[in-house]
Amino acid sequence: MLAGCLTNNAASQEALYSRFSPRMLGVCYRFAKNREDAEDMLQEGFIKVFSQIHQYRGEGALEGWIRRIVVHTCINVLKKNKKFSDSVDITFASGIGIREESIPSIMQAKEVVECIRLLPIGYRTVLNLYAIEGYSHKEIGNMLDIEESTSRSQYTRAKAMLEDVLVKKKIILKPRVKTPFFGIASATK
Amino acid sequence: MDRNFHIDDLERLLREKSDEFRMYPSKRIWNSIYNNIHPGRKWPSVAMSITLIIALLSVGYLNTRNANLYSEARTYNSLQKPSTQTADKKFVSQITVNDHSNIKYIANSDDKNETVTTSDNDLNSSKNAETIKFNPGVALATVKQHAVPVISGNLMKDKTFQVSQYAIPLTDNKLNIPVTPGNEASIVRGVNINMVEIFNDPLSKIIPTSTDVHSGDLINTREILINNSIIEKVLINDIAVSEYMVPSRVSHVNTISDNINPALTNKNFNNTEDKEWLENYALYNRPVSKKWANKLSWQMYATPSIVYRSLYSDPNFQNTFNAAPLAVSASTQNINEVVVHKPSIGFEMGTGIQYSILRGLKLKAGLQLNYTRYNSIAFENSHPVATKLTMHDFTMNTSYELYRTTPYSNKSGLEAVKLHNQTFQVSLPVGVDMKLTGSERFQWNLGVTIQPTYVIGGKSYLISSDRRNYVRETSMLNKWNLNAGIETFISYKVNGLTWQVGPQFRTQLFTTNSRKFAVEERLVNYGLKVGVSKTIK
Repeated sequence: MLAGCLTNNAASQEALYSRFSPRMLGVCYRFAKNREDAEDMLQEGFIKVFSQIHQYRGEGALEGWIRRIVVHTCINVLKKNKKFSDSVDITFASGIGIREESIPSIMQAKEVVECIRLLPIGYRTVLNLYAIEGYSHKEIGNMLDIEESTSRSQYTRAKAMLEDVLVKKKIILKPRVKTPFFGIASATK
Repeated sequence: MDRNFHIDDLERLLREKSDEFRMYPSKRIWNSIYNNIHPGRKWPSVAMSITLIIALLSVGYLNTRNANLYSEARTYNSLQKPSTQTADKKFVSQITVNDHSNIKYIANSDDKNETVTTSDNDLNSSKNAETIKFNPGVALATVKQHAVPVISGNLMKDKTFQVSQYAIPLTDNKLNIPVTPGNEASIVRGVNINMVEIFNDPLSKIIPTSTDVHSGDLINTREILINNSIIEKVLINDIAVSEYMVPSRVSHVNTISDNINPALTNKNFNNTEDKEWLENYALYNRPVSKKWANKLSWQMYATPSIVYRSLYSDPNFQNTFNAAPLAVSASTQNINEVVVHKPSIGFEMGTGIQYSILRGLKLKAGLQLNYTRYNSIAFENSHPVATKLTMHDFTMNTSYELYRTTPYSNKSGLEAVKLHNQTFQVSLPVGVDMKLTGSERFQWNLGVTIQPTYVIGGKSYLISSDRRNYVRETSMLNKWNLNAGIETFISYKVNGLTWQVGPQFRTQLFTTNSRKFAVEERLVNYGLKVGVSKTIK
């Protein structure tokens, strides 16, 4: 499939797209404001993938290489559109309904992603890059043209905000608190 | 996955859940990517079809408009002299009567200020010229009427005269146009004698002319009975009927009478200047052929057909993890084996324009009305039952179900019924016809069309999620669709009409019902097309 893409073979390109596009769209969806923006990012990302496919040297997984291109494309789109000023009031999070699904793990994955998307775009972007994509704060600083310290503080606030949302939606529990007298941990929801 | 994750596992949770999360992009995304990386291979679309229709109609309109302009110019040229010709035309006329006794003849001169000396003032009057157009073959006639005294006063009693009309050429001394032997055929006119004022017996007659009429040819002969009247004047309608209104001098006139106007004499026209002028005039005034003549034809056709249906479970539905369990299991069955459906009649009827772009290749476009129908065999119950239709939400990439009630069962019931699934459609077929072999009269052809289609209305019965019931849900019909057709036919040309007959195969490219419905349906028509076309000239 990779060899076909290098020769600009349409069938190989479509096969590569079909294989990786669902996951990559999920990546874009975490960065984007809505599905349409996510699809635009995906389109732009894959155009770059096919135009730069000859630069892939086989170091590491192909998916990881594609993912990095897609993530950088998402960041560029956000910077170009100056979306970082957008914000969403976190108190509205509990009011957003998600349809009940029959397969719990996928449903919960969607819930988690939707909760991430509820964060203000600046927080969301840093959270995505650090906690999920695995970039360091220094790399994040370079990508977003911010200071490393700013990235750290943004991440701390994003994490706190996300925890709050996830607890409110009962996806996660608050940490156990040890009582000093009985030494028994009790979980509170 | 339980929900007892603690916050210290938050980052691991985020990574795991994000990796599990999938979303399926719409097909347009791949199309856009493909078009971007393969710019030379853009897929045709409905927009291209519509552009082709507009282009064909524009070609037909422009050619029609140009042809009209040419015919108007030709008429104008016929009316006008090429250089110094004025709107007035002067004619030389002559009357011959076989009974010469007691009748004198006067032939009018070609003088513009022609007058005839008489005591009767009426004789000096002349009516305005009238322009009469004829049907194809003869372009124009102009009529000028004037009165000419005939008799010098003798009483005529019970006398029968034979009045003959001869063709004589147009005269215009000012132009000095030569009339050489051979080009007389282009100069045709007739002479008509109207004696209505005297005998109350109008002899007005437009003399048919043709290019075969030469100067001096006898056009018509009438017998006139004069009874106790004195012929004082004759009203003459000079009618010039010609393809080319080329003024010319009189070269020679055959006369019976001895009393001939000295103006009607032979003259020599053979100088070079006159000849060149005539040739130039013929060049600029030759008839212009219509560019699209014999290339454009109009067609009408009808196609009775048999309509078949094929069902497909939506492939996107199979890939959706969120499908309801019951529907998932039902979707694994071959749906065509679960339902009983029978083909039924269909009909197409249309009209169109064909334009011949090459020898043996025609572009065609038109308007077509379609009726499709197939039958689903079901059972009707005495009371409706609750059932569900599986739908797909492409935005959220999930499935959900619509709850409906229906009396129609796919499995069992009180009595068997036929459910008529039918649609009424309007299409704009665009395509080509190609001649495979044959002569001008008898041919074997192949045709293909692409037909953007609008569904005006119809009836649709959808199979339920568990395949047990049918639900009537006409609102699910797709308003827009696309069909493709291929046909082969024998054509035979007779009496200006081309008849054709042959089989046709028509298939529907998109599902009949909304894409949201989990089952896709395609219709296929097999028909016999009969048509007739006529070339537009």
